[in-house]
This record gives sequence, structure tokens and C-alpha cells, in this order.
Amino acid sequence: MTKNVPAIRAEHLVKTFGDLEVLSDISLEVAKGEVVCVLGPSGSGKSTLLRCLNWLSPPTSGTVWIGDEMLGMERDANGTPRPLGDARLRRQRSRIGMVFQSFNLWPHRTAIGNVMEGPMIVRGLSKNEARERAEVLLDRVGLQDKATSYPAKLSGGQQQRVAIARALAMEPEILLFDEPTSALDPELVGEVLDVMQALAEQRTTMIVVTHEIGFASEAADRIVFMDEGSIIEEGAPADFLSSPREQRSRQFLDRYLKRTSFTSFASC
Amino acid sequence: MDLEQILKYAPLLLEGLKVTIIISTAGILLSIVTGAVLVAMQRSGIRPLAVIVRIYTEIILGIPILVLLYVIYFVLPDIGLRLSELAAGLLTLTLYYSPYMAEIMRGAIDAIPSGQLEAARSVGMSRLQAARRITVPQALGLIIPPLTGISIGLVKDSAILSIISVHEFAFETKQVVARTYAPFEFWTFAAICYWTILFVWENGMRSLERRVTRYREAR
Repeated sequence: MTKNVPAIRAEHLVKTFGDLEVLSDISLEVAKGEVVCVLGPSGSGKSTLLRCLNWLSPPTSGTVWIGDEMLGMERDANGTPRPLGDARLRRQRSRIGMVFQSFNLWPHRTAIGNVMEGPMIVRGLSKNEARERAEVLLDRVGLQDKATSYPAKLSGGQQQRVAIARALAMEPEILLFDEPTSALDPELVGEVLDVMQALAEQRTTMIVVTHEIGFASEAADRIVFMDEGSIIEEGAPADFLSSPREQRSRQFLDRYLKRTSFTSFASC
Repeated sequence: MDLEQILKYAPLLLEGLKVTIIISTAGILLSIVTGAVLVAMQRSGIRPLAVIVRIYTEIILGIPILVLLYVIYFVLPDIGLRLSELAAGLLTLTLYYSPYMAEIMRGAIDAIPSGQLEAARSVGMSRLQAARRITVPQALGLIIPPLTGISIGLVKDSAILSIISVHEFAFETKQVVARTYAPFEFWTFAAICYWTILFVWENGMRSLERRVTRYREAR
């Protein structure tokens, strides 16, 4: 029974900023262990969707479920939804890990300090327990030798790997990636994608907003294509990438392929 | 230069110096606390509170500290609030300097990129936890240099309180000069004392700043 409950489920999400509708009626389900890549042109609402999915930016309307728990809302005695108290929202949020485009590491903490912070402060682990957990995770992202380095001394790729370890340290049920490689120099993209690929192979539930179509085709179980605040098309990577059904998906992929064929030609 | 004179009056002068240090320390602490309250009021999201802070700040910034002191010491008794010299002096320093302290704190808090706080919230930290663990430790490093400057101003301005007979250093020096007719010795001595204290203070704060911002240049 519980096996069929999706890890995360969004129903009819709408998000408006003033008159601007950034998300219009998005519904999305991600099963446990599934890797979903969200593609789409800039401004299509991909990042906003992620920020709604962990309530950093609550949707204007619609609901999100993690497992069988409604996120950020609860029903009162009459069944009317109302915002959830902060303490319970925080507990829910800690079940959803987030990796940001600009890493957002805390510069006054070392790499290992960044990873230890959440488990210590939010989960109440002792310093030693948190350190042990953080060492394992830094090892997993290949940064055990950088544990005592401050973010300022790490490359972008290393910082993003620390950020992934920081998210993993909360042992989240779902990991959200918001364009994790977009702020990186091209030569650093690979090391981050490798870590993400490994997570995907270990059946971590992931929603990845990305422009890395190569990664999507290899790691994703499903690709979701968004444009103008709506999901236009979704499907298995092989199907979507080789024969997109919708006109807008085709245009997007065409543009992308032109650009990469040019760059691969230029790098010859 | 008559050193014997200075030695003779040293106990009295040191007593004044002690009052200067105490009232300055109290003034710095109280204006920091009041400044923090101003920031909290302004950021509370409650509009009337923010408006009060703005009006208060505008008023204080437009009044010389000497006039503020006179108002508190000579005008407030007419409306029924009579304060001792020390209390009036301390209140003046606090009221006058708290908007500056608030401005320093505001600037430091705003300088922390919002993404860091989003990261804190995404791991499940409360606002208070994020403030304590993420904002404050970094804001401290940003606050210290301007705080040093403002607090030096406060220490120097504490000499103004001699006008309402707060028995601080400048007041005692004035008394001694009146008794000895030796302004050269005693005012020079006073200048050296003020300068020395502020020199030590400034350097202490500078090394404190280096300590809390070590992460910026560290390994």
C-alpha cells in the first residue's frame, strides 16, 4: 500500500507574482527512487516550481504532498486548509534537500562545518555524530581532503559538491537540484554531474532542473518539459529527446542541438 | 610641566576617568541594545512601528547632541521627568547614538546574501536558528569596524556631559584646573588619556575583527 505512495506529489500548483502567473496549474508526481529532470527555456517557471515543492516560496494555490503528508498546510476541524505551524513546516522541509544554482554555502563554516550544521542544529546530533556523518558524505562527493577548507578556498565545483553533501546530511527523502551546474565554469561541470549520476544510480529520489541534456538523457527516468509555467510534455528520455511530440519541445531541442553541435565543432 | 601637580590630583582625575569609562561602556551597550530594538521594530512588518523608527531617526539626526542633552536635562523636568545628571547623560548618549547603531546593524544584516538564509531554511532551520548560526556570526565581522568608529565618537562626546556636572573625566579636569591654574598640564594630560584609551580600544577592536573574519582569508 505505502509502496504506491509517490515520494512527492504536486497538485494544481499555481504561483503568481502580482499579475504575473509564473506557474499555471502544474501537477507532478515523482515515485520513490525516481529521477526526474525538468527542462525548459529560461523563465519557464522551473526554478519556481522547485521552490514551491519545498515551500521556500509557497504556491498561490495547489497542494504538495510528501509521502502522505500535506506540505505546509493542514486541515482544521472543518476540513478547511490553513498554513501549518512553523515547527512542523520545518520538520517537513528537512525531509526535502535542496541544492542551489549558486551553492549558497555558509562562508564562515568550513566544508565539513557546512555539512555538520543541519544535523547538529536541526536534528540535535552531537558534534561527534555530526562529524562522523559529514566525513562519510564528504568522502562520497570526493572531498574528504578538503574538510577543513573554507568555501572561499574551494572551486565552484567543489563548493557545489559540499552543498550536495550538506543536503544529503539531513537524509532527505527527496533531493531538489536547481540548475546545479549553471553557475560553474565548463570544466567543473563534470565533477558535479558525476556525483549526481552516482546518486541517481543509488536510486535517490531526485528532481533536477537543468540545462544539461546529456545528463538528463543518461540519468533521468523521466524528462519533464516546461514552458511558460506549464508542463508541455513528459516522457522517457529516449522518447522525448529523439521524438518530442510538441512543437515547443522540438524548437527547444533544436536550438539546444544547434548550439552544442557548434560548440563541439569549435572545440575540435 | 609640573608632574607633581598631576600626581597630587591623580586620584581625583582617575575617579573621573573611571566614570567616563563606565558611562561610555554603558552608553555603547545601551545604544547597541536600543539600536537592535529599532532594527527589530523596523523589520517587524508592522507598519506603525517602522514609521515610529523613521520619525525617531529623523528627529535625532537633526539635533546636535548638546541641544539634546539640554532638552533632556532642562526641559523634561518641566513635563514632570526629572533625571539625575548621570541618568540624563546616559539617556542622551543612548538616544543620540542608537540610530547610528541601528544603521550599522541594518547594513551588516543586509550584506548577508539571502541565498544563505534560504539554504538554512531548506535544511529546516528556524528563523532564529538561522539568525544565530548564519547571520550574526558573519554580521559581527561587518559590524565591528563601523561600531569602533561610532563608539569612539560616543566616548569623546561623553565629555559634553561635564556641562550638566556629570563627574566624568573632563569635568574633574576642569575642576582641577580651576583650583590649580595649571591648564597646560591638566588639559594636556586629559588629551593624552583620552587618546590612549581610544588607541587601545581601536586596536583591540581591530584584532577582534581579524579574529571573527578569519574565515575570509583562511586555508
